[in-house]
Amino acid sequence: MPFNRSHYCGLYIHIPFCEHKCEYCDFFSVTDNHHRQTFVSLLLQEMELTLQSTHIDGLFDTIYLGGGTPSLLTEHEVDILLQFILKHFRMDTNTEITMEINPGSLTDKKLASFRRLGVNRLNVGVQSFVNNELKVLGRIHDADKAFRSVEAVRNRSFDNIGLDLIYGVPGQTQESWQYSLSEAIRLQPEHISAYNLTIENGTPFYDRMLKGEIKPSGQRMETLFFKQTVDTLKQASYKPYEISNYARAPKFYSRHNQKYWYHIPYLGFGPSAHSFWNEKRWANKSSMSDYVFDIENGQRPLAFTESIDDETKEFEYIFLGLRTYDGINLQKFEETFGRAFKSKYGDLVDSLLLNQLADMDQSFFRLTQKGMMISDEITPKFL
Amino acid sequence: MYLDYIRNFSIIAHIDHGKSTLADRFLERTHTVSARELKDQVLDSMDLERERGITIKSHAIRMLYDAQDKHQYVFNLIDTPGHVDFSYEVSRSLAACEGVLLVVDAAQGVEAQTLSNLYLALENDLQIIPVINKIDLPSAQTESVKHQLVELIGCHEDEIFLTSAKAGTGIDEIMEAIIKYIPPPQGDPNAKLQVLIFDSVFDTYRGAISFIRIFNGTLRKGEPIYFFNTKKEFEADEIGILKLKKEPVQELRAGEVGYLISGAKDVSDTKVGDTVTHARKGAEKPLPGYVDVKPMVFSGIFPINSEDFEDLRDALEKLTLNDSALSYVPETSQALGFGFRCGFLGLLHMEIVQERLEREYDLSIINTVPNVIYHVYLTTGEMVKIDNPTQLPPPGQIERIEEPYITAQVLSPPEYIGGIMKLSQEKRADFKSTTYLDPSRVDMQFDFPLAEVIFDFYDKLKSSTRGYASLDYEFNEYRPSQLVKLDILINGEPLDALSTIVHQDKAYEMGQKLCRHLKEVIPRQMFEVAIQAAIGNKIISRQTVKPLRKNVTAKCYGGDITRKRKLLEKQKEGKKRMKQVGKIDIPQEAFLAVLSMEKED
Repeated sequence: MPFNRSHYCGLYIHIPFCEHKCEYCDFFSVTDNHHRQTFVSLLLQEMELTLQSTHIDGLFDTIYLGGGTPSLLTEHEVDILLQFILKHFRMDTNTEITMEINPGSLTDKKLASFRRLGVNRLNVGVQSFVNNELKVLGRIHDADKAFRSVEAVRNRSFDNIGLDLIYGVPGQTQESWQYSLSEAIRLQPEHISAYNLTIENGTPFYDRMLKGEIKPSGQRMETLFFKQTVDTLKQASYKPYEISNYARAPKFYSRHNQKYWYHIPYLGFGPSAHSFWNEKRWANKSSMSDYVFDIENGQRPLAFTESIDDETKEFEYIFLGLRTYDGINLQKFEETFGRAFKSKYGDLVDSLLLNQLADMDQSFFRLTQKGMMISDEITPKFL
Repeated sequence: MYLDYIRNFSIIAHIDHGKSTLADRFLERTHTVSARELKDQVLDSMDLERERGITIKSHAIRMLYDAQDKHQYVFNLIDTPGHVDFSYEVSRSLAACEGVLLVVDAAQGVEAQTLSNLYLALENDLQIIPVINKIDLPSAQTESVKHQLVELIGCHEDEIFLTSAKAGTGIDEIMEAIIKYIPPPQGDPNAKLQVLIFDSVFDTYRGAISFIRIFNGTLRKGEPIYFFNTKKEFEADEIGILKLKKEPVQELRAGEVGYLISGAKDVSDTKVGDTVTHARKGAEKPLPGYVDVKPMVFSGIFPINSEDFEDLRDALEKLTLNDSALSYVPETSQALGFGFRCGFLGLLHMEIVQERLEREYDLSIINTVPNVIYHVYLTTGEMVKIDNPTQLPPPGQIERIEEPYITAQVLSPPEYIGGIMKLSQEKRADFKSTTYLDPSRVDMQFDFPLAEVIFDFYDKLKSSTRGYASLDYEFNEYRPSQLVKLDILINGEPLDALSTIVHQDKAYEMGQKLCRHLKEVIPRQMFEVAIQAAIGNKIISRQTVKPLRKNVTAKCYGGDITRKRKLLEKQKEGKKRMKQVGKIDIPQEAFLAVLSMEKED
């Protein structure tokens, strides 16, 4: 697996609990512990319901524990969860098991036990090494704690660590972003995700933006941040492989996340989790009480199901593929959709190439860095 | 004799001077409509008309009035459109009357529109009853307005009626005056049939419905009839009188007003101003005054989505059923694809058509910059009529270009003379004369190139005179002008739909303004967009829309591809309201840039 990419299926588990909700966070999470004790058992029931109603015969080779804050789970809970999965799903022997962890709520002891139970990849939500920025974001840790927690992870013999960073934070400067990047590089994680802050409707950030309390950094700054990120990380031998993702080597690419981008089936469990299976997408309800209610009544907690027709699938394939640095595999495209990419989108492809927004060789069509930066402008044109 | 108890009249008034309110009072007093039934402005039936406060199509209504002399009279109130674009229809409505009420707002005084309609009434030899309305307004200047009226029509002050239509005062006096001063219709019910069509509307179920005035003879239900100008024969399937609803009758005699449904499918068969007679033993001659109205202003109408072309054709076809002044022929634009070149009576007419296409037919359309018909004399001696700038022959083949001039009349308080003169010079007007109607009102006459007036002249006139000036105009003649074609190039490609014909002296400034304005309305896109203005091969102005720098979603949320996809689809949907020209998305408003840009200054 040269790019740590396979056609095997992925499993996502959403653990929605947080000690504190971050100001910018748009994921489904809860801070009350009302269903905390029974949650894992609810998860198991949900998996059972799914296994009863859907024929699941694929081989899985990733488990991703996301959230929320999955590191809030106890050793025992993780044990039960992974045992259940091993028993009920066909798992590859070499399965990537990722857990997102929060530097603010982590103990050495827990880390060691997670490792022992089989978690072999950690994604640490650092976001920034600048205290002011962490405060603006509403994180519960400071820069020092973030730094020490990554060291601690390393000491607990995790050899595949990812680090999440955010740029475009209100008040951030190129200097402060450079500092966060270099601190990250100093820790030598295998993987770095650097996301541009998106101020989503419904988050406290959004309300504060409407009130004028915080200001988005704007197109000009965001462009500079993006270029700075690519340049700095490349310099430090990190390889960009998706708009926001970098790894020290292809073998450290996130196997699980690549499933999202390459149309590989995945199942999601837990409130708000999404699935893609058999040309269908569905999502669970984003409400703890609805989730509990449905499962206790023997129903799957579905918010929606949609069938992906060929046209939609093709568009997804294109806009997801163009997020990656590989781009669209022309041969695979033709095999899947029965028509050569170039012949179908010739005019658009030509004008993108002409304007250096895209590159093409024998095997791949991909966006250039310039194109990637405006990919939301480009991709709808393939509709 | 029955004719003695008929009065056919119309009300002439400027917009908002109270025509509709006065009409409403008549309807109430004659119990034609109860107060409860009386919606505001019963006579205006189209939504658009009501919103704009103008009457586009004229209608008529019949009332029975029990007069003080103990006789019952038939009053036919014939409504007239209130905009200069529709002056021909006004003239035909007036031709159906023997008299008019000239209604002037006590606070506003006489306006150009009132004046021009008054002249039409005088031409038709109609009896004029002067009425000052809104005398109870605090700002009323009744005495001064009386002077204006005395000047204008040569009446005596004591012949002027004072009313507040809103409060209902002075109404009975006016109704008695209608009997006393407006003559009954003339005509012989036994003579050969002569029927004037003063309006025609299209009804989905009945086809064309004509509103008619019988001048001579008697029209009976079922009789074969002949239309003089369209030379068509139909049968009088249904004839009737116009109350709030249509009421069929067996016959209509000379002097009467009513409607006719003849099996004619659309209004191009039943043209306003045409004369109807019997198909056998009909009148030898039509009534005088028929004019085949010709569009004065032309513009391209294109569907934003090319697949809507057929729908647009259907919609235009339906509109012309009801609007014989609207013309359309297919047109192809390199930039906008397939559409239609449409002809309108004027700008208002154009806007109304545009709005109806969007509202009633739910079409998204692009309306290109309006222009007039140019007479282009070629070096070969031939003359071609150009209603589309893209069709202008190359300069080398042109000997001269002539453009239509109008005679315009502007009425305004004298303090705005300076502003009006300045504006008129900008618009290349030839000043003719100034006449004081009274110390507070001056009548200015100009010759204008029509092309200048169709660009926002009216709006500018209003703003430079704080709304006090009013305008009326009529076609005068074609005159030679130094005209050039101004092209707009987007990334080097001419955008034909934005070409305009402008006066040479204004081309440079126009090009610059246009480029600046387009830069404002064209959003940033994937690549740089160069906007250039050119005359022939010479680039006279350039602006650049810088490429979009950043538009990318950082994260595909935890496998939530659906949401991301829907966002992109929505973005595409938003783009649909723009027209793709080459690879550039150009918003609708860009195609009317010339118009909106002028409004900005």
